[in-house]
Amino acid sequence: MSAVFLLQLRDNLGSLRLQLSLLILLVLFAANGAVFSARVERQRAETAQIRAADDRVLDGVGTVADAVTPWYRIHSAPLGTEFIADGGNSWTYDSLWITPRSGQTLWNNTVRTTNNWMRRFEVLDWVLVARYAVTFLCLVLAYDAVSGELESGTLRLALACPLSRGRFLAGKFLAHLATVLAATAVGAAVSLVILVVGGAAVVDGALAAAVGGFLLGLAFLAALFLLLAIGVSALARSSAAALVFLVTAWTVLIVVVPQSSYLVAVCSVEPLGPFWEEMRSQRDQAMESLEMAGLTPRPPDLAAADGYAVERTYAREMGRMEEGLDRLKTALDERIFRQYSVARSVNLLSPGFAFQYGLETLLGTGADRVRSFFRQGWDHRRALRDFLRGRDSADPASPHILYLSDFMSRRPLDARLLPGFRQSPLPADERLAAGVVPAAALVFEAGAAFLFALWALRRLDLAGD
Amino acid sequence: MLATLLRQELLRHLLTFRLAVALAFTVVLTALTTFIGSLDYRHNLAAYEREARAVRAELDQATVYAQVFPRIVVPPQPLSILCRGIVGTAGRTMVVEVDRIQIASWPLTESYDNQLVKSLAQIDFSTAVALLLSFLAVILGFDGVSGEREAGTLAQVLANPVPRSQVYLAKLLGGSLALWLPFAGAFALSLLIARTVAPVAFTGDDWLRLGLFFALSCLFLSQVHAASLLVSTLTRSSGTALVVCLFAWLVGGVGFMSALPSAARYAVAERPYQELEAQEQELDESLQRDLEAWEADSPGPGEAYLRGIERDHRLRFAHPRGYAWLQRRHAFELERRLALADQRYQLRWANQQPLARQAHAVDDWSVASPITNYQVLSYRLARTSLDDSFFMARAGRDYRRTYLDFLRGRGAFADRRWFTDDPPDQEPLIPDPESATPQMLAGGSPFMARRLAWAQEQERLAAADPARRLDLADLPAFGTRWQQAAGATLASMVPGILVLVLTWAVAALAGLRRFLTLDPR
Repeated sequence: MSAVFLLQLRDNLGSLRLQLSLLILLVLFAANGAVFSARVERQRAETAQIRAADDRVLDGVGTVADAVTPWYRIHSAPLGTEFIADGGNSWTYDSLWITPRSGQTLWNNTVRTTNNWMRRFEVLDWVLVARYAVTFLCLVLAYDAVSGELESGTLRLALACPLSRGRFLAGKFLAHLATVLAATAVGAAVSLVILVVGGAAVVDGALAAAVGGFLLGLAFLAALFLLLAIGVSALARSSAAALVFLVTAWTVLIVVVPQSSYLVAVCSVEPLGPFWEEMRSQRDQAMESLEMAGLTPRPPDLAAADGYAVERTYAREMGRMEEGLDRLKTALDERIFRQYSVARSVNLLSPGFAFQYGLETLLGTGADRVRSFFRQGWDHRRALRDFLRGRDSADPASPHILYLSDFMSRRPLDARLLPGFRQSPLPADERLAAGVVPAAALVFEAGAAFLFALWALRRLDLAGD
Repeated sequence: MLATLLRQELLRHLLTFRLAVALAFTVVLTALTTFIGSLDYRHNLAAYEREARAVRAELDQATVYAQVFPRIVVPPQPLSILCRGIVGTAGRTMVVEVDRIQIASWPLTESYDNQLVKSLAQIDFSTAVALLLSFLAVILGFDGVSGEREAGTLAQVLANPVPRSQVYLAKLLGGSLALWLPFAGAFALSLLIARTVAPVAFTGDDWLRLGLFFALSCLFLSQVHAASLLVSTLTRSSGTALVVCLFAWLVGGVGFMSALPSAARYAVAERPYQELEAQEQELDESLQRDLEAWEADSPGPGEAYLRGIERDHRLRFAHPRGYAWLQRRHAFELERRLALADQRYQLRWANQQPLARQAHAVDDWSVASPITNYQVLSYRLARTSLDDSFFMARAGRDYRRTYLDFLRGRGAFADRRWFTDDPPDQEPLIPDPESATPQMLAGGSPFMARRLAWAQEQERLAAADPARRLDLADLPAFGTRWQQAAGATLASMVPGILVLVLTWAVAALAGLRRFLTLDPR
C-alpha cells in the first residue's frame, strides 16, 4: 500500500492539476489575508469612534436620576478569528440599545458600517475557500483515480500484485488527502503571514487551536470529496463522464443546497411580521389609556403632597407595558433564530456547511454568539437597574419611584461607576453541545462517502472490460 | 458539406451520457428555481397589492397634513422570477417625508428583515444557467479537437478534401446548437411554469426583454464553448485540456463570484458610520438651538393654552391663542427642517457613496469573467440590478419634490391644518386657561378627569365626522417612469455585451487560426 501511496504522491506533485490548484489556493488565501488586514484596521478605527460616542452619552450623566433616562449602547466585539470563519459577523446585530427607565424594551442594532447593497455576497474567509476551492480541487485530483488507470491499462497491473482493493483505495486516497491538506496548509500559512505582518492577528494558543480545528475539519471534508470522486471514478464509463457527474454533484451539494435553504426557512417559519409596528401600537395604546385615565406624572412638588399616589400607579402600569414589550421583543428574537436554524438544518445537507457550522461552534462565533449576546443584554439591563436602585435607596430624600427619572435620587453620581458591559464568550460546554450536530453530520457524510467508494471499488469488474 | 459535418458534430454531442446527465440536472434545476421564483413572485405581488391598498386607505383617513405619508410602493418585476438580482422578486417601497430625503428604496417584504438569514444567497434561473449550463459548454468543447486527435479520427477527417475552416466551423456550430436546443427547452418550460404558477402577465416590453435574455444566454453558452474549443486546439492531450478548462471555469465562475465582492469592499475607502451619527446629532442639536432661540424671542402663551389631546401626529382641543402661537412656531420649524433636509442628505450621501461605489465596483468588474458578466447582464435585462434600484430611488426623490410643491401650493406649511383639524370655533380642553391652577391641571385631578371625559366624547364624534378628512384628491401620483425603458437598459448593457461578443470572436478566430495550421497527428 505504501508503494501505491508514494507513487500517487509523486504523480500528484508533478501534475499540472496540483500546480494550478496550488496557484489558485495561494491567490485566494493571499486575498483573504489582504482583505482581513484591511478589515481589522477599519474595525479598530470604528471602535475608537464608537467608544467616543458612548462616552458622550455618559458625559450627560451627573446624578442618579440622570442615569435613568438615556439609551446606552452595548456591543459585541469581533473575536479576531473572523478570517477563519466569519460567522456572519459582517451582518449580524452587534449592538443593543438599553435603557433603565420604565416602559421601554431593548432594541437590536448594527453599529459598524455595513454595506446593505452587498448583503447577498459571502465573505472571503478560510471556510469559503475550503467550501469552494478545496472541494473542487479534491474532485479534480481524484476524478480519474480509477477510471484513468483503467483507461491507461495500469489498473490491471496494479491489482495483479497481491494488493487488495481496499489497500489500493487506501493508498491512493491517503496520497490525495495528504496533497490536499499540504496545499491548504501552505495557503493558510501565507494568509497567516500576511495577517500577522499587517498586525491583524496575534499568534497565540487560541489561534493555534483554531487553525488546528480548521485543518482537522478540512481533513474530513476533503476525505468526503476524495472518496466520492474515487467511487464515481470506479463506476463511470470514462474519466470525462466521471467528471461530469462529479461536478454536477458538487454544484448541487455546494451551491444549490445552500442557496435553497433561505427559501425553505422563509416558507416554513411564519414571517417575522410587523413586529415594530406591533410594539409601537401597543406602546401608543398603553400611553393613551394612561392619559385618559388621568395617570400622568405631576410636577414633583404637587406630587409630594399626596405621597406620589398617581406616580406610583403610573410606574406600575409602565412596568406592565414594559413586560408586554419585552415579551414581543423576545418573541421576535426567537422567531429570527428559529428561521435561521431551519436554514441551518437544510444547509447541513451540504458537507461544506456542516464543516462551517462545526468550525463556528469551535470558535464560539455564529448565531449562537448573537443569541448569547442578546441574553447578556437582558442581564445588563438588570445589572444597571440593580445598581441604580441601590444608589437610589441610599438617598432618604428620594421618592424611590422606579424607574422614573423625575422621581429618583438627585444625588451626584460618577458615570464611570455604572456597570460596564463585557461580553463573555460562549461557555465551553454550550459550544460542545452545539458543535455535536454539525460535526456528526460531517463525519456521517464522510462515512457514507467511504462506504460508497468501497462498494464502487468492489463492484469494479476488471475482467469484463 | 458543412451540413453533413454539422450533423455529425451534433449527433456526436447529443448521444453522449455526459450530456444526458448534465442536461437532466439542468432541466430539473431550472424548473425548480423558476417554480420557487414564481411562488415568491406571487407572494410578493399579493404583499404589494395589500400595501398599495393600505397606503390609499391611510391617505383617505388623514385629517391633518402631518398624517399624510404618501409612501411609494411599486410592484415586483415580472422577469425577477428568472433573474433575482439585487432587487429580488420583492416589490419596492420608498418613504416620502418632508424633512428627509431618502437615498435608497427598500424591499417590500416583511416589515422586518431577518439579518441572520438574509445573507444567504438565493438561486435563480440565470445562476443555474451560468453555472451548470456553462459547465456543460466546457464539457462539450474540451475534447473537440484534442480528443479526436488522440483517438486518431482527426487525421481521417482532414484527409478528406474538405476545407479545414469548415470542419472547425462545424465544431463550433455543432457544439453551440447542442447547447441551444436543450436550453430553449428549459427556457420554454420555465416560462410555462412562470405563467401558470405565478400568474404573471408579461407586457410587450417584458417579451422583448425575454427574447433578449434568450439571445444573451445563447451567446454566453457559445462563448464558453468557443473558449473551451480554443483550449482544445492548443493542448496535446484532452486530459490537460480538461484540467485547464475546469480550473478556468472554477476561477471565472465560483472563485470570482466569491472573491470579487470581498475585494471590492476593501478596495474603496469607507467613511465610518459613527462619523455620520455624530454629524447628524450635531444637526439635530443645531435645530434645537434655533427653536429655543425662536421661543426665547416669541414666548408661548403658557402650558394651559397649549394643553390638548395629542394622538397620531395630531393635536386637538388646544386654546385658539395656543394654536396661533403653535402655527407660527411650526411654520418656522418646518422651514428650518426643509433647509436641513438637504444638508442631511449631503452628509448621508457622503457616507453612503463609498458603499455604493463598492457595490457598483462588483458589477463593473464582473465583465472580467464571462459567467459573472452574463449574470450582471441578465439582471439588467430583468431590471433587478443595482442601477435599477438607484434609478427608482432617483424617481422617488423627484416625487418628493413634486409632493413638496403640492404642499406649498396649498399653503400647508404655514397652515395650522398641518397639526390640527379643529374648526376655529372648537371648544378647547381648558376653556379658561387664566383661571387654571397647577393643581387643576395635574394628572388625576377631578377637573382634568371631567375634561378628559368630555374630550373622549368629542373624539368619538370627530371620528365619525367625514368633513374632518383632508381632501387629497389632487395629490399627484407617483407615475410610471420609475423603471428604465428598454433603450436605457440596452445602453447600460453595451460594455458587457461588447466584452462578450469580442471574447467570443477572439476565441473562435484564434481557435480557427490554430486549427488551420494544426498537425492532426
